[in-house]
Amino acid sequence: MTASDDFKIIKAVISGDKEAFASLVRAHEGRIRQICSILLSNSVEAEDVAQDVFVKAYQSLAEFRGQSSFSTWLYRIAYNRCMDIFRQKARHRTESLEELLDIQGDRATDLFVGKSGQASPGADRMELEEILASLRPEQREILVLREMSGLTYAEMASFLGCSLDAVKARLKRARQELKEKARHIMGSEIV
Amino acid sequence: MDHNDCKEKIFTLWDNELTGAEREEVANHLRECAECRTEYSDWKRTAGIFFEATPPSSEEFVQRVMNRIRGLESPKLFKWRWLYPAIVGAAFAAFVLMMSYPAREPQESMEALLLHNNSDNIPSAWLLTSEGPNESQILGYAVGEQ
Repeated sequence: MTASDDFKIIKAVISGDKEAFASLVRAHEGRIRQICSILLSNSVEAEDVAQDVFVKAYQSLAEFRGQSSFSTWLYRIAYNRCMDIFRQKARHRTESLEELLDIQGDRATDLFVGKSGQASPGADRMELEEILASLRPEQREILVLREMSGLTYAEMASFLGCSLDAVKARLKRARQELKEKARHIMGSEIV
Repeated sequence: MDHNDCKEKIFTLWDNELTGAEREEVANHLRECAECRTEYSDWKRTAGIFFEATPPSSEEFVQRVMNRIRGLESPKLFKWRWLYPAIVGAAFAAFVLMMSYPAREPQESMEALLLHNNSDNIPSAWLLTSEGPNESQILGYAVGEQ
């Protein structure tokens, strides 16, 4: 679907044709679900969040100015929503951990250390998700913005509020980290 | 272009952010340099595995979204949005007027005070009339005439 197709549909939806919105959802849902899944490192939760993204997009459709493509606008909503959830989770995790440490003391620490030492066997898909999840959130987000949303360096700089050089440096570090963590998979691919 | 310069620009080539001449130079170097070629193809494979495969489209997902949307109001443009600054401006002007009104009270009281406490018998009516004193009245007062 082209950008002008998106515009026509948006006009129709704003004029009152709610059902026309289904075409926009169909055209972009795959990418949005995937972005949410990578950013949240949880494909089940990503489905619900992706729904929220489309509902939010629908409610804000009259505010879409067309300065960027509709897909970029959607990615921005998805990114912001995922970051909100990520922050909520981080806060909740900290509170839960503090609670657990209060109750169980050293036993809780052993529990965490032991868990991180174990290798987690699983399917390829799971392994890919785990590798992506092991990256730092800012590394996941810059990879998503470039590799999936297709933003240019200038767009990413404006989106993240940093310089072009900072974008290039962050992107390079994220890619090197991902390559390093995926080395064993890439090795087995060659064989 | 030297090997290290080229290595720095491999990702920029992948991102399609090089100018025409730079792109040509890096591409030429890749043809000759096995190390840079491996670096490029490694990332190409990594990106392919992690990012290119889009999940299969799901009509069930579309319907779940549409079910939620059917229960919502249609998005509408707010036609009077341009009025916001005008409303804010008018409210501000009203506020300034209201704040300046009490400040005029002491000025009137001061005029009354001058009238009451005019011990020098100055023709204080001048203060309250729109007609000011003429030149001879002013000169007369200056030399002590009443």
